[in-house]
Amino acid sequence: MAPIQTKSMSDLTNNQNHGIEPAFQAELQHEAEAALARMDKSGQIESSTYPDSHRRVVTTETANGEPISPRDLFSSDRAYELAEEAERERQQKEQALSLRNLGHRISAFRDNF
Amino acid sequence: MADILKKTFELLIGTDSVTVPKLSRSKNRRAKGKLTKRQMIQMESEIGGTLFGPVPKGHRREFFNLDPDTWIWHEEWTDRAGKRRMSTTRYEIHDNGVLKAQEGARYSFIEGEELENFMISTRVYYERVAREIYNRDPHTGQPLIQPAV
Repeated sequence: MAPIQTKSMSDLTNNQNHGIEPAFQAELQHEAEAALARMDKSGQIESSTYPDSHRRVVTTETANGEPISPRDLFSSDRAYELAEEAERERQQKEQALSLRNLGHRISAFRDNF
Repeated sequence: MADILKKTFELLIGTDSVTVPKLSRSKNRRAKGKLTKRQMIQMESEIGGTLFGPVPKGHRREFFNLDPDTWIWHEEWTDRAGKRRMSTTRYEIHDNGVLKAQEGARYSFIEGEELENFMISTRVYYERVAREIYNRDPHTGQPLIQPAV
C-alpha cells in the first residue's frame, strides 16, 4: 500500500493550483484582500474616533461587515456609562469607609485619653 | 471655640438652647483632670484650623471631627462694613459620597478637587491629632514612645 500523500502550507502557496480553477483562486484572493482592507479601515476608525478604545468595546461594523445601527452604538455607550457609574460608586464607598475609619479611630483616642 | 460648638449644635439639632462652657487654652488642661469630649474637640480644632494654610487677618477658622460621620468647618470674619460674619459647613459621610450642608444653601455632594482636598485634610488632621494630642502612632494606634529625658 502506498504511503498517504500530505502537502505542506508552502506546497499550497507555491504557485501551484492544486486542481483549483485559476478564476476561482483569483476570486478567493480578491475576497481575502477585501476582508483585510475592511479590518484595517475598522481599526483606523476605532483608534482615531475613540482614543480610549482599549477600555471600550466599540466597533463600526458587525462581524459580517455590516454597519452597526445607531441604536446598537447607543447600547454600547450606555453599557460604558453603567460601567463608569459602577466604578464611581465603588470609589465612593471606599472613600466613605476610609473616612469613617478615621472617625472611629479618633473616637477611640478620645475614649482612651 | 465655645461659640463654634454652640453654632455646630444649632446646625445639627436646630436649637440654640445648648450651653457650651467657656474654655481656656491652657496647655496643661489635662493635669486638672479628665477632659470632656468637647474639650478634646476644641484641642483638635486648634490643629484643624491650621491645616489650610495661614488664616487671613481678622479671620477665625476651625475644622474638626464631630463624630465618625460628621466633620465641621467654621469660619468667622469681619466684612468691609465692620459686621461680624460667620459660616458653618457640615460634611456628612454617606455611602454614596460626602454631603455638604451649609446654612441657607442646598445640600450637595462634594466632588473633584473639593473632595480630594477634603480627603487629604481629614487624613492630615487624623495624623496630627493622633501624634500631637493623643500621643499615638497614627498607623498602629499604639502609644508613642516618649524619649528619655
